[in-house]
Amino acid sequence: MEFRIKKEDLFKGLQKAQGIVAAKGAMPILANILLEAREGEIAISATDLDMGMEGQYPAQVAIPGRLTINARKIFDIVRELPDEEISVKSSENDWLNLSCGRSKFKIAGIPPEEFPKLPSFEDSAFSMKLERDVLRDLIRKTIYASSNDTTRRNLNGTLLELEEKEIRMVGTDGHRLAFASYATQEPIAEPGKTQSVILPKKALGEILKFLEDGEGPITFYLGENHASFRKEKFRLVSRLVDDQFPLYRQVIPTENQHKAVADRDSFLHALKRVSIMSDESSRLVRFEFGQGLLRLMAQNADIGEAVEEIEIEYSEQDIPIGLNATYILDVLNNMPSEKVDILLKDTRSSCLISPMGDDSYKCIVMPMRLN
Amino acid sequence: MHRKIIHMDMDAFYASVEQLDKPSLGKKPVIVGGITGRGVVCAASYEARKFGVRSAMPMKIAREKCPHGVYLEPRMGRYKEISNMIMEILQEYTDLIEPLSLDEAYLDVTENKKGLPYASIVAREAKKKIRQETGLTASAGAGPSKFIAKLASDHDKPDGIVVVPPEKVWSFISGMEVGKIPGVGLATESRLREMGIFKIKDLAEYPVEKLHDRLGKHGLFLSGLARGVDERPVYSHREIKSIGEETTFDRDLLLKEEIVPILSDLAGEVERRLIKNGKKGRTVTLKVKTGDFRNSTRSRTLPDPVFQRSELLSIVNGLIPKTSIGRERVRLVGITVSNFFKPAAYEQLRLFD
Repeated sequence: MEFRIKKEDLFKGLQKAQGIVAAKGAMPILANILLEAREGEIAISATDLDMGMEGQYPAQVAIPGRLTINARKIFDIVRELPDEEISVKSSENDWLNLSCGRSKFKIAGIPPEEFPKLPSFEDSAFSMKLERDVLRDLIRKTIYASSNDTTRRNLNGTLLELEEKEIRMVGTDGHRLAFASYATQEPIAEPGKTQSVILPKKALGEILKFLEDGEGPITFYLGENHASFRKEKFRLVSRLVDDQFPLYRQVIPTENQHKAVADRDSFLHALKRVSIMSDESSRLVRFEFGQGLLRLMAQNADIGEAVEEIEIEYSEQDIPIGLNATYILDVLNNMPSEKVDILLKDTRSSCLISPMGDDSYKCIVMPMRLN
Repeated sequence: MHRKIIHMDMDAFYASVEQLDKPSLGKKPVIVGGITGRGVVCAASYEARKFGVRSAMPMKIAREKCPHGVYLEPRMGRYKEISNMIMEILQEYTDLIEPLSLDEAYLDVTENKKGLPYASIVAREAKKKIRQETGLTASAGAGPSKFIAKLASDHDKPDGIVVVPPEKVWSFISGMEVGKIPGVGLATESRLREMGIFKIKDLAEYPVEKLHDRLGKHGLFLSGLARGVDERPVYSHREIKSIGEETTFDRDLLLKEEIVPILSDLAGEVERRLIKNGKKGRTVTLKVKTGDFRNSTRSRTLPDPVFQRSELLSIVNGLIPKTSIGRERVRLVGITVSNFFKPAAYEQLRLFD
């Protein structure tokens, strides 16, 4: 293998691989990327067996070939190189020789045969074109609510549902839930046939990065066990979580009749201030909804206490409710509108927050019982 | 004002109960413990101790040291019964009683129900009463703290009574070996020795910061003890901090398939005790001792507390690959649940279930 490539192009591919390779584990090869030189381009692949990527970058290839190399090491090297052409050449016993200007590196590789093949299922899979920002918004609006606990596999990811003319995503950690939907112009599935899959949280993080970098629609593929996202010469593939997502519709409240409207920014900042004094483990803040006024209160036996009132539109019965401030701050940080609707039932029932007048995005937070 | 703490410690309790219940044993050495397989000594009568038999010694070694001893299985129900009698006697003097096990307890008699002025009088009376009502002897230690009381009760066993008034604390403890301090096991003792600390006096004089560097928080605690500082109150309702079960196999086991059913039984037993005590815990620990006596523990802390056997077992199964199970011969396994869920002033409600 021998090729020459612009630093910028090589760097771009290596950077994308960093979030995917398995840092340490039973299989050293998973800490490596696969470099493949073909005619006029090189391909960089990385995988941790749960997800993988493959990107193609223009290069002047003299001798085609393949080799795997430690992802972190080659990334660190290339990052520090000047913006010049880099020449890469493999030598006997899986060595990779890399030179740029007056720098020369010789890096030990692992034979490419050991590198796991990325699943290729797209030819027979369901596919659709998606606007980047549609998918990006859906993920951003829901990923925060999904669980970080990797042992609760069904919650450590978000649900993706495709219906006739709607795409939905749902994330939940069991205490709170975020539901976002998007109505498509064109039908995307047969009527009455809903496709539901769970995308793992780690993959969603990488998908977000991919969506934020670049423009134009992407193609989404959905197979039996995998989903992939493709844009021209770049492909991200993830295994689907093989588990049942909780029956989320049951917990989206329909009887929350008491509605308050608050200014998102003033609510967010008041809550940020008050939450400083909340108990560090529970993050409990007491919300008292009253006529035209929301009072936020927190106390911490060791530190002190805080009270703040903000004006809201509310003309119904007084409702006190204890909520984890972090959960509500997460919701408010993801609200796209200036004003938010807060729908309540009582002290013991969940609280529903949506952008004002928009029920395509619903955030549900269970309260804390004040004993 | 100084506190008046008593540490009451029954002498060779299990063995003494057996001698009491079976007069035919006479003055023969009595050893109570796991008789079959690979049990350890729970208690050895003073006659047996003369042969070098000690608590926690493997039974096999005890039999080598004392082949003509009488070896008995423990009868926990009976010991519990007598223990209750003793605790009732102690309650005549104070409600501030902290039992450490069936056969020992701390008492805070600073203010006692009988208005006795000295801890020494309380100790003497209580000992006498225990003797009268159960026929058993106890050793009592009295002092201004738990630490001193415990060292005192240990100072003149069996049937002893040692009172250390505050002004005598230093002369009482300063010359003792650091290994005497409860909480200084063999490992800590050898580390202290490496630091040139042999006597409690050396520990008291050792710079606190350096102790902290070497031993962390525990070092600070030990340094305080050595200087006679021990503010730990006597807890009348001692809080259970963990519930665990372990078992030593009859022979070392190599196969995971042989060990998993045993873990399943242990998980069931832990579940039963958690339910009995009304506890749920967030941390599950798997303990493994290998054939060459190396202990290791692996734990997992969960977001929500658990107590059910199936939950425990699935967590334990996840921990198995991190242990020697299936890779080395294993002698003992244990499951412990800790980090108990405390009913707080609030409770985060769940969306599902």
